[in-house]
Amino acid sequence: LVKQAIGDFLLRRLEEAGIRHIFGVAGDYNLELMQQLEDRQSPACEIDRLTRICWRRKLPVYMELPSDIGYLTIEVPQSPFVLAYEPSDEERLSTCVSKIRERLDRAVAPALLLDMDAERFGVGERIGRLARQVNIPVATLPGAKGVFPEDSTLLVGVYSGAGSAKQLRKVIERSDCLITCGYRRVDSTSGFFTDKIRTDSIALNGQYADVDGENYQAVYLVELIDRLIEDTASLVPKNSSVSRPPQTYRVRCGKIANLVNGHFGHRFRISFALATSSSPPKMAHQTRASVASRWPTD
Amino acid sequence: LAHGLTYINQPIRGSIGFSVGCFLGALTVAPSRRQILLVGDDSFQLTAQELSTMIRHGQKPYIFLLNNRGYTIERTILGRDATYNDIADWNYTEFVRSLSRRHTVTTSVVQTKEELDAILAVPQQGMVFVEVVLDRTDSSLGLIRGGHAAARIDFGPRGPQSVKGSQIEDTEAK
Repeated sequence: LVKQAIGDFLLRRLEEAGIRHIFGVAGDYNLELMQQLEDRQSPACEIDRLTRICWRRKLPVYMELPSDIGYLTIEVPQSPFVLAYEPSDEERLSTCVSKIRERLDRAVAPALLLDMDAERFGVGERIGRLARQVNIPVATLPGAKGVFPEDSTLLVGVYSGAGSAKQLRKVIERSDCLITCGYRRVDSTSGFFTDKIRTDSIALNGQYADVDGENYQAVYLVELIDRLIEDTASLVPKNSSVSRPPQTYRVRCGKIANLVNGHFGHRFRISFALATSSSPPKMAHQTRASVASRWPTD
Repeated sequence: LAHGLTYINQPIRGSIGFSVGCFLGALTVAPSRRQILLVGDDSFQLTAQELSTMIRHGQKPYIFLLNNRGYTIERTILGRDATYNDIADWNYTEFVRSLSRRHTVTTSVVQTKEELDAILAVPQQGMVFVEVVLDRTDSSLGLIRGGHAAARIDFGPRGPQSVKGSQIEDTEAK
C-alpha cells in the first residue's frame, strides 16, 4: 500500500480503466459509491469495485467525489488496475450452448436480432461468423444500426415492430429460433411497443442468457458466442434465403428531395462516425432519458 | 451504410440534444477518423454550445444541421401546423461563427443538391458547418408511421389526432 489523495487515486484508476478524457459527467447517479465516499470508509476498495462493475456491465455511471474529502490522503494499492472478465461458469456455459445448438439444429427459420450490447461487448464480428456459418439472417434494432455490415447478404434490415417492412417482421416474428442479443424493449426502438417477439426466443445478454425458460447467470457473451461458433461448426447450414426488404424510407416532399435520405449516403463512402438524435414524443409514461455511453470494448 | 462505417445514434426515449455532446466524445476518442454529424435544428438548440469545445480543441468534423423549423417528429404525432411545434429561428451559421474569433469554421446554407455538392467538392481545412434547409413537413414514411403509432398510444384511437390535418399524413396509407 502507498499513500495517495482520494481524488488522485480515483483519477489514476479511471486512467488505468482506459479513460483518457474527462469533459464532465454523464449517466445515472450511483448513490452507493457516493455514500461510501462521503463517510470515507474504504474509498480505495469502493473505487476499484465500482469502476470494475461499470467496465464489466458497459453501463453509464455517475461518480461523485465530494470536494471536502477528495484531497484527503488514504492508503491505496500500488498494483495496477486489472480489468478482466471472470471465466463463465463452465457447467452453465456448456449447458446453455448445448441447448442453443439443439434449438438451432431443429430450427427451420432461425434469425438473429442485435441491439446495442452487441457493439458494447464487442461481439459484432463474432456474431457475423456465427451467422455465416449457420446461414442465419440478421436484423438490428435502430440503436444498433451498422453493428452488422450492411453489405452482407444476411442482413435483413432494421427491426422496430410496426415500423418495419412486412418481410422483415415475418423473419423476426415468425422465426422458430430467434436469438436476440442485448434486446431492450423501449419506446422508439420497439416501434412504440408494437414489436412481437415470440416468448420462446433465446435472449443473450452481457452476463447471462435465457434459453427455453432457464436463466443462465455468469455466462459471458464473448465466451458464449465463441463456444457457439465451435459447437455449430458441424451443423448443416440453414436454407434460409431471405432477401432484404425494400427500404421503407421514402422522401415525401421538400425543396431538396432525395438529399437527406439518398444523397448523403452516396456521398460518404469512407469510414466515419455519425450521430443523430430525435425529438421526444410526448408520451404519458415517458421517463427521464438515460444517456447510453459507449465504453471501450476489450 | 458503407462497410467499416460506425453509426452512432440514440433513439431510445427520444434523447433530444444527445447527439451534439456525443459527437464531441466521438471526435475526442477517434481523432483520426472522418466524422460527420447529422442533427436536427430542434436537437441542436439544446446542446449547441458543445461546438465551442470542438473548435477550441481544433476538431475538424463536418456538421450538417437539418433545419426544418421545429419539431417535425412531433408534427407526425400531433400539431402539424401548431406553433408549439415551432422553435426559435436562429441564424445558425452566425451562431457558429461567433464561437471563434479566428474564423476557423467554414459555414454555409444550402437549399438544393447542387449547392450541397458544391460544398462537398471543395477540400476543407477546418470544421465545416452546413445548414440544410428543408421543408417543415419533410419526413420519411417510417417516421410518419412511427408518429401515428405514438399518437395512438398517447391519445387512443379516437384522440385529437383523428381530426384531419392534425398530423403529417401517410400518403400511402390504404
